[in-house]
Amino acid sequence: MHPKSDQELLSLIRTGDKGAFAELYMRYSRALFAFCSRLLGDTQAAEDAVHETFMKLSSGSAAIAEPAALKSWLFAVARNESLMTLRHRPAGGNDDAESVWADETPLSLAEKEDVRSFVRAALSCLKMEYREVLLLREFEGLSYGEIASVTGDSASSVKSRLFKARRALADRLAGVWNEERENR
Amino acid sequence: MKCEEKQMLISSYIDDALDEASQGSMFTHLADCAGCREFLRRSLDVRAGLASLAQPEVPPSLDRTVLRMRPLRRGRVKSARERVQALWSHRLSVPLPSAALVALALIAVTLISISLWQNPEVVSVPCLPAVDVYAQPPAGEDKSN
Repeated sequence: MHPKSDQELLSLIRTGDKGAFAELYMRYSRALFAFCSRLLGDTQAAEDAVHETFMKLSSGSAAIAEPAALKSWLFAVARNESLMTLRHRPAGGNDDAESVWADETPLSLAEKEDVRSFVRAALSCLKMEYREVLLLREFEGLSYGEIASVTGDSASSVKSRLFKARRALADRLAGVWNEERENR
Repeated sequence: MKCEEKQMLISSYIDDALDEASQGSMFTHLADCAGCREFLRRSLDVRAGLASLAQPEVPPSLDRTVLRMRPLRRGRVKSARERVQALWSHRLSVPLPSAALVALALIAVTLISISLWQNPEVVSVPCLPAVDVYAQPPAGEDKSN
């Protein structure tokens, strides 16, 4: 038996099918939690955001205009919930509109030990608008169009942000990778 | 400027979102430009670095709360029971300082109530001297009144 498509599951959810709801949760909970967790840098807040996302699905599945784009809808709701959490946090960081960095440069976090720690730190220092497109592209494999429907931007804006985020990370982490290559 | 345009193409190529004609233009440029070759290498390093990050595990508490939810049927009005169930599974996010302030206020009110209960203030009412309404009037007063 082939697994049901998102669209089929959504049709069943609209009839009140609890099993279909559970199946959809199992399909997307991990990715949504990872996305919110990396976006917020806080697992508790990420848990709340994913919880609210599925609350909205359970109570408002009828309102989903494009059943074929359910994955984008779920990520868009999870993103909005995450942004609401961030609005309650004190503002700070870099106000420079041209910069892609939100916080201190990651290489100044000298206590970090391995490459993964540097990458994680660099990712968390990217501004939200750059971090979210990178996460959706690199971890979830969403197309430019799908990312645009999640963030509410145009596909060309997504493409441009991805380029800038990659370039910033590549420049910032070049020293780390060069050092690692020399040590091999 | 030209390199920045080509690096944008490289970024799209990494995303598998570059058409054949643009790929040709990109590779022609890469053959002559060490800077853009370096950008391609570093961008691939970024991808590999991100892929090496562990995926956070979903907390069991999230599984428990979400899997208890029951999806509503389309167009159906929520029953009272469902509204109550939704209320129980609803979460309220309160900033920690506000929660601490409310908790402190509750503790203060409780302590004041307990101290008042244990030591009620004695209210003394000044007493008027007793008057015997049946007593004989003092001598010399007109008894006819």
